[in-house]
Amino acid sequence: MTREAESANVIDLSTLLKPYKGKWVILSEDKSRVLYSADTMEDAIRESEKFRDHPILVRVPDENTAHLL
Amino acid sequence: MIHSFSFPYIRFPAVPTPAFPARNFVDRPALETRIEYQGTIFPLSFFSIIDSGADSCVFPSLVGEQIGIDIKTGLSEGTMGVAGSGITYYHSIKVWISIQGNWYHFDCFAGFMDEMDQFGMGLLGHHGFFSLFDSVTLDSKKKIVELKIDIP
Repeated sequence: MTREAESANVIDLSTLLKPYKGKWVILSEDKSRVLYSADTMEDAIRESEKFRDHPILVRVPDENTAHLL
Repeated sequence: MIHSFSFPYIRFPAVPTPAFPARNFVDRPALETRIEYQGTIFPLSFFSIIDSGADSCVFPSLVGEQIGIDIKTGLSEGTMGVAGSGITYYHSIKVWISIQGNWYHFDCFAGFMDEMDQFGMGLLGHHGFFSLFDSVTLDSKKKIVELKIDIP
């Protein structure tokens, strides 16, 4: 089985989030768009009041982030 | 009656390391979660990994502080886990999870750990999460999570 076939089911955020290394990102509820990016969680939370529904907070890892096993 | 819920893994970006120089992403079994404490709910959803190796549910301290939890007043235990070693402080909260677009909640004696802050993710472990279900299946080949629960 190819790697593509094996992973056909995943919800892929890796491409969308790739440009935001080290940032706290707010994703749209449908996970299709980045609504905002910030250097800190607090900044992202302040901005979250502008968005409706259930936007999603994601910390995008960078070279200084330990890998979560 | 047994109800079954299935949903796909989520592919997160990853930074290549000397050990895994070609790795640009990781696929994880994860759910969108929100947490609530004494009626105050964290204003954003965030992902939590379904972690069969975690004894309990654990969240970043920063998230708890934002909804008014005085983290270090909680009952504590020294822990060693995916986020490294540290002190985890436990509080009674409500955890919301989104499955197939529907939100469900459960009461949980959940831990908060400073070492989780850099990840911005939670862990859904046995006490609180796995204990809700009759079975939790992580199909790492098909990248599918299946939860089964008996609802009378």
